Amino acid sequence: MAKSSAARRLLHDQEPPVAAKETAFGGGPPPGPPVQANAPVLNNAKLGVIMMLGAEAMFFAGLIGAFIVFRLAAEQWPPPFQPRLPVGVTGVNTLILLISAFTMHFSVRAVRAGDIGGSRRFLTVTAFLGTLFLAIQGFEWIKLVHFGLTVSSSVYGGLFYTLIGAHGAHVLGALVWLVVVYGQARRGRYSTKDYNGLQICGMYWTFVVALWPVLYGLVYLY
Amino acid sequence: MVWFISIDCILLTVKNRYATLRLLDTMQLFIVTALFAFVASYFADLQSVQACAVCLTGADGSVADAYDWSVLFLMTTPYLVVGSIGGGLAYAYRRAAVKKANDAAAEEAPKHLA
Repeated sequence: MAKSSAARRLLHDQEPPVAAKETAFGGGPPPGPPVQANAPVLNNAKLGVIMMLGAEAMFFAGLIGAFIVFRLAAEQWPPPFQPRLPVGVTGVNTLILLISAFTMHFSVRAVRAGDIGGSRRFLTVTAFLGTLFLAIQGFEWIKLVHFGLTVSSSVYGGLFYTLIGAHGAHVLGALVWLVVVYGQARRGRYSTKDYNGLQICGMYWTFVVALWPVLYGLVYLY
Repeated sequence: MVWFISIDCILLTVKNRYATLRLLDTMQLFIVTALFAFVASYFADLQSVQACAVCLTGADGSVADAYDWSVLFLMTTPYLVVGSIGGGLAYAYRRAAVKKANDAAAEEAPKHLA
């Protein structure tokens, strides 16, 4: 169609007739103001993190379920000739991790209040406390391995390293995330109106911290 | 056999919902087969159908209790997780709706009262 009209233009050397401009749909009243969509209650990032936390909760539930089977079926727990776990030091470590959840919360609250510098300071404290937790855990693990508690020494050792190791890996992951968020905060990424990145990191950190007392009570105290 | 007949029954319903007589025949066959399977299972060797790890090993006492508690825990957790997420989302949506209604009311209020 277009080809034939172009050929006709070349042959007759005249412009095709232009249709008279008409108002769309035959006129009518002018359109109203543009409709503004409602802002989403939860943005996609938060929803995604919530889903991920649900999956993480189920992952740890599976591990805890395995622990319950072996723990309740055992005649004696811990099994004979296996070292006892360091309850006291890990209790202090639990307190350190719990305090880090508060500092993370204060960081989010500070950025909401417009105190960006204060938020960064609280992030630094949170990262320090998380690193301290991991360092103490690593130190205790080295001592336990020297005492003969390894992954293959017994079911006790296997369960201990699987459960606590999985949590330690999550704390490490959260710590890396925290460092990335800190870098973004230094570059001025977050403001009073836009601090989603910090908030979702805080959600993940809170999950990791909230999980620890459950594991501590189950593995160390029960 | 029971599965085969029930699938056939569903397919028949989907294909021609008015083939009532043929459907009744199929359902009759399904009921007879199900009854036969139920009676036959009573006389069959029950050891061969114990697929559960606890039943198969004949575990009892503390091992069976441990499995029971673990199963209960794992059965409850998904409901807790999904319920928490659903509850949290419902709370967030409700709070947003209340805030929106309050904002609209504040906008509609006369200026001299604001």
